[in-house]
Amino acid sequence: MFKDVVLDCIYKLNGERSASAIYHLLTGKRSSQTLQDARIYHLKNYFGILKSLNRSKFLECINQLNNNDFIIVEENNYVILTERGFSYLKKISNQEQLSQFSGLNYERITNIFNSRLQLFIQTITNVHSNNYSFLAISDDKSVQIWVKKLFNNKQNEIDKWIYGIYSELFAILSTMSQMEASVFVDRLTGFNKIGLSKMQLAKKYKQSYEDIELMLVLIIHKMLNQLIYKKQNSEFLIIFFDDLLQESFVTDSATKTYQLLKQGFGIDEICKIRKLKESTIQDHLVEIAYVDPFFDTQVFLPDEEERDITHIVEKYQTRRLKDINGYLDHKYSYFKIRLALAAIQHNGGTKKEENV
Amino acid sequence: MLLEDELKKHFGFSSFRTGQREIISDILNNKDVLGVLPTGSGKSLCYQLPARIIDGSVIVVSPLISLMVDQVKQLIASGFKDVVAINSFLSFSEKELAYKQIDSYKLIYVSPEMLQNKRFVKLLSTIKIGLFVIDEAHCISQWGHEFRPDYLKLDFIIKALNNPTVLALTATATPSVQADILNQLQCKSMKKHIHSMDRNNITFAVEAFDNIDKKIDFLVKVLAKYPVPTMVYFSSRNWTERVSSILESRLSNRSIAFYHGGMDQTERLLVQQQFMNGQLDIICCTSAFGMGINKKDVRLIIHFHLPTQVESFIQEVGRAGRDGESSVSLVLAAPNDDKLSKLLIERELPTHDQVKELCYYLNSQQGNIINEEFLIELFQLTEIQWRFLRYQLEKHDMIIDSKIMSRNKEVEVIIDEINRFILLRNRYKYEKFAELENWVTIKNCRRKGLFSSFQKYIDEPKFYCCDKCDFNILEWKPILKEKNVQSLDWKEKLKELFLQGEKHVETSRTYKADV
Ligand SMILES: Nc1ncnc2c1ncn2[C@@H]1O[C@H](COP(=O)(O)OP(=O)(O)OP(=O)(O)O)[C@@H](O)[C@H]1O
Ligand SMILES: [Mg+2]
Ligand SMILES: [Zn+2]
Repeated sequence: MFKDVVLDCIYKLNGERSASAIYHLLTGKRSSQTLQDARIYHLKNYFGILKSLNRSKFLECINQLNNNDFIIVEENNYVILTERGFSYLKKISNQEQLSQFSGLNYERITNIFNSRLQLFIQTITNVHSNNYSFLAISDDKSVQIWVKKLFNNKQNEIDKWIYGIYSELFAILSTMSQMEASVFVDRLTGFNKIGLSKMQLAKKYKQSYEDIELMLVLIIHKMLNQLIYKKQNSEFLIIFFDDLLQESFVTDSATKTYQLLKQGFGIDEICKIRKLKESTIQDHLVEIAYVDPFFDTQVFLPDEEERDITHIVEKYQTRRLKDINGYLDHKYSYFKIRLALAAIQHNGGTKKEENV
Repeated sequence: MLLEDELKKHFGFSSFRTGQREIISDILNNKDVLGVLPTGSGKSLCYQLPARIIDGSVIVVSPLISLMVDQVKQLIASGFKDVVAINSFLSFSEKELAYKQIDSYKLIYVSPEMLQNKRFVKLLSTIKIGLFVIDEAHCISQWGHEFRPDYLKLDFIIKALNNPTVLALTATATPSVQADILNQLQCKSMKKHIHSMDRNNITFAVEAFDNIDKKIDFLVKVLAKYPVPTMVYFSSRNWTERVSSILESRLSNRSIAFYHGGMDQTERLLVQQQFMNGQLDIICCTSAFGMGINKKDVRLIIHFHLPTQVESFIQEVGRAGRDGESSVSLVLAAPNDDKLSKLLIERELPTHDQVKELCYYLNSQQGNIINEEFLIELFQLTEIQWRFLRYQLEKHDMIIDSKIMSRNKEVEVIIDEINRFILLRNRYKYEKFAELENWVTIKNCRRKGLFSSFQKYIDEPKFYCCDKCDFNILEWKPILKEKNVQSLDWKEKLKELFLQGEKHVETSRTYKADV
């Protein structure tokens, strides 16, 4: 699956980005460049789905694809899909699977939801078996506090919660493949049964480490998709992420800039207040423009300029800043071009994937 | 007050183990104590029980953060709430929180480098400290096998904290290390409680081979013969992974995993707990595993590679047989094994070039504040190397309070002195390693040989003594525990995990065990 994801990224990036753009995307680097790439190139679903990927593993994969003639790595490290890579990608059977990743949507929820659920299951099954001293499988303090709170609230209904979570998991896992369901269950820790590590899962199911990691993320994403879009069916699992849904998906730094902007400060004032360079503040604005369709960019990019840029983008079918800038005879700053690109993705045909 | 009652009340144990009672009552009488007790004998209780009894907080300095975190977790899991571990891995807000309510903790575990933080020490000096504990105290000694520079300044800290009662604990300390500990702590009047380090239920054996393949074959043979909880020690991460995959392919029906410091936190936690829980039979590990592992029924400790000193070896072997049943230490030796160990010794301290380059660099930066991370990156240092260098540089007044100083001493002289020191230490460590190598080829009783530099007498072995006296590894008869092998599909597993329809699962399990 890892290989397929990387190939799909390369395909969608259209030869306009280097391999490290993919690395940043998969590991979920919260820079405006990466967020922008994710949106322009329809790669939002892969954002941050392999957080722990290390660079050497990634390069290994790129090299392998290169050696198998699936891709070409150009001198500037830009990557292009070959015919062979393309026909492989079209043939793979898990296209449908890949489209179920919802990286950017669930980026902040995935881990927290998973850790809370796992720790809560460990807690209630142990307490139910009268074992009050077990070592928490999650080291995350905030997760521990959250689980403790929930547990304290539900102490008197443990049986109900055990059964409730069990039935909801059973129902959801039944909609997945045998392998996915097994992997998920093997990973769980309960009373007197410690879950398998990713390495062990990889061995047991004869997958690579990265594949297992992707599978675990995909399972959670599928779960979340089902739980969110069929709310009425969940009474228990939904508790583990309901409070997280409201949070927005921009960097913390950009959020601060946005707040100042809303208070009526101009760019140069914000620069002074935040002691940041103008270019950084511009990055934030682009980031916000991508996330918030109602963010008014008029002040920075008048309508007619936006139309100008949009026109070029569509005419030449490119999203490469340098090219666009060239076609426009360097009339507009990169900042303006990036804002225009953000607007395009809100107005254009990207609405579809929002619902996945 | 009857100590036994307190023991029962707080820990549920009905009697003290050897040494505990004496140490605890000395502490309660405000006497400084050096306790040398074998691995797994219950040293932690010597301060955990006083923490329940005395007025004021107990500070525990512990060298390994993972060990410290484990202990605190275990304490919290067993109902002690007023416990905290403070180390550099805490997030800013976690630290702030801990600082704010510092006086509400009875037991405060700290890493030695935290004690280099002036603000923290000042904070500690504002609360009442009833006892100051130095766990794994051999780290204080220049001659100990895990020398930590940060431990050296403990005497200052003890003074800064208004001289609370001091308890130093270790499992392995030769008489000269013991003397060094007293000296470094400036506590000449310490009461010594030295107990035999020998564990009478552990049997020693060594097997030598011409080459590494034969060694692996024998490993497989022994593991196949004895399905008991086993730890196999290696001296590199790479080897743990390599051998564990070989074992997996050659031993069916055994669950095997590797464990080393390079794995991510959750993965490590899972593997460790699986082993504790009996789900894993064999764990291939580096020395990162073991400290803090308190599994009662580890039967077999195999050293695929030797550690670099007798003391570490004794510590690692000490993970076996904490339940008092027959357990074995088996060392597998092959030619060239020493190469890896020597490399490890060399790599522990910085090279001469690293010292030289760093010193010249700092010399050109006088007046600036050091940026540790940057220096570590720039000179490609390990954390231990950096801490060593920092200590040396402070000793030579090249760094004071994180500031790079101008000095009257020539930088060349400093470089020379540091490098001479490194040379001396490495030479000392080669000698220590040679001791262990000699033990491998010893002609007489291994038990006597192993403990000869620590104590005059050894205990009467409870089962077998060693391969020189009365033991052959292939004729050992350990206790075997039955394990039910079950292969359920995910639906059944989920049901079992959620304790649904236990009856059904129960019957299918006995059925499988019958087959
Ligand atoms: N008096 C006692 N009675 C029964 N069990 C005890 C007693 N004292 C300690 N124990 C148990 O012995 C086990 C080992 O204790 P501990 O971890 O303190 O050993 P240690 O001496 O620190 O070992 P190490 O050298 O590995 O650090 C623990 O599980 C502890 O609960
Ligand atoms: Mg201990
Ligand atoms: Zn003997």
